[in-house]
Amino acid sequence: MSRAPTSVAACAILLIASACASTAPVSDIQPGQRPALESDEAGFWMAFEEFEDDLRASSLVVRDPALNRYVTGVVCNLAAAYCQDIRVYLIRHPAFNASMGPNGTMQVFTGLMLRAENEAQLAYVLGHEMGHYIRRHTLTRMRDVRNKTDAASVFGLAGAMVGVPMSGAISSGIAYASISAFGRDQEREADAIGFQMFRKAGYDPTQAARIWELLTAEAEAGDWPAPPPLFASHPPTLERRETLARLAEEASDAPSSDYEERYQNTILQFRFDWLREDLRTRNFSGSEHLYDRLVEAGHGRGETLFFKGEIYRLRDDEGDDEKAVEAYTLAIAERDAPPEVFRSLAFVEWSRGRRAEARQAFERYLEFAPSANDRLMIEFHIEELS
Amino acid sequence: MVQSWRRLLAVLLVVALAGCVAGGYTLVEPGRTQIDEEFSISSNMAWSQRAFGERHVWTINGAGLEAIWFYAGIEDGDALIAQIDEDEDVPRFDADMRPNEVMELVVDSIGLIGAVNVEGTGLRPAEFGSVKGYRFELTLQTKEGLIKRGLAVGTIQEDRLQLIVYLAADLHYYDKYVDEVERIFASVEMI
Repeated sequence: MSRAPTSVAACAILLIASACASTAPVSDIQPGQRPALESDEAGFWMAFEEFEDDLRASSLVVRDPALNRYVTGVVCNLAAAYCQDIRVYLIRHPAFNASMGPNGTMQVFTGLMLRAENEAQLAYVLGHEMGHYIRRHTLTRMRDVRNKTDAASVFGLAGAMVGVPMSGAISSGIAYASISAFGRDQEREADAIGFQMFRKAGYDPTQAARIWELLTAEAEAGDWPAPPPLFASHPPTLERRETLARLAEEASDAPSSDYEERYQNTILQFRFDWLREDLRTRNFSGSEHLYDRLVEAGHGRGETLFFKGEIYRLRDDEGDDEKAVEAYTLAIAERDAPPEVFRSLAFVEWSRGRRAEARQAFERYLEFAPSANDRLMIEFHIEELS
Repeated sequence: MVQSWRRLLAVLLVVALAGCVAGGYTLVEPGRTQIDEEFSISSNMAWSQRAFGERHVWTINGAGLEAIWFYAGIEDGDALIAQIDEDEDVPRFDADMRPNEVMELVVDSIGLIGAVNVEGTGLRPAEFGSVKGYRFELTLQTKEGLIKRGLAVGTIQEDRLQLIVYLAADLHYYDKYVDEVERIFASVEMI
């Protein structure tokens, strides 16, 4: 973080000094290509390299080697020639988001991975981000800003792009994504390139439109007016869905797969933590919609139903106790319900005045989690309820 | 007004987790100190303190390294952290909360201001002054990777939450002050 101002200043100087090159057309970046040292693009890269240094050390990055190998594998499957140029960072963050720096720094938020139903949906989004990289959209965007504004604005934009991701709270990544937002034409271009790579890699073409349908429905169900970050500057969702559906229809004759099973098997061990982080956003209606969809899809039903119950326990509106008990009861019927479901059930039953049921649920919690680290507290509650 | 001091508190807590808090502190001499009209505690050491409404932070080397957070008389519907983004709500205290739920409130609040791998463990009954309460341990990492440990004691009396949270860098600082923090916890007297 302390180096950010230096890099921002250097970036701004390069931007201003190289203003005469600003209207040159931008060609696609080639595999292994790096910008010429004296170019404005080198300044952007330098700023992002400093940012990437901080990112590399951040505890927000998910380190699990298998998960990282898997996502990097999807990137390489989409564009083998660029495989060495893209560095994937999995960011522990509940928002649906992914972003691409000009130097090949790709951020993939765990909120995106929680929401994708299969590898094809993830691959479509990653392909879209790679489309931005290949078309060098950040360079075009920064030059555009520089031409339309003054140096101070460029400085501010560059600074924000470098500094914001590491300095904010939960919405830091979102702020970064919105500041570096691309224009709608660029998004359409990235869609087209992403779709082409995604299709060539053998992914089910219908999944590209499908992920947008899912996100639209979740955003409409949510408590908060702000759309998911990836919506911010993108073409109208209906237009995008129609375009992607048309592309899928044109490509429907070739064999394809969505790779749902291997995707779900890969993320299974992380879902509990990702659901817990999603619940912390307190976007209860949006989460309710999401968890219903996940339950219906049938992966990790027990833990998802547990978290659905947690929505109602935490929201605590009229009728929520009953909804929580219903969700917990359904969770308990599944093999993968976590022991915590009994503890939460006990608290809700207690608040409903059903002391015997509460006590029984606490006892079952300790039966399933005998070494629970809150055992002393739970035993105390059992005593209180006796 | 309420929003503004909440915002200040959140910013301070964010910065504290990142490790750089400065300015606005006053000296607390060793001895007994009253925390609002809620409770008092006693310390053998001098601390620097800063208050934000019902929230107070005490530190010696800087809140990013070690800090005791006093939450005195938090009322139903209040949050421990500010709602920085108006499009995102934050966890709020409910007077009906059980101890597990208070621990969740603390863990989720810290998680929302940018710390990761936040865990509350070892929840158990404990005295808060002369009244029944509970205590638990905390572990977390700042975004920059600094590992922190913590201890918390709390109680709900007359629908108001009384809570003391100690958070310090695992390396050196936690152990350096934990005995004094335990003495402070043990010295609580309700007003």
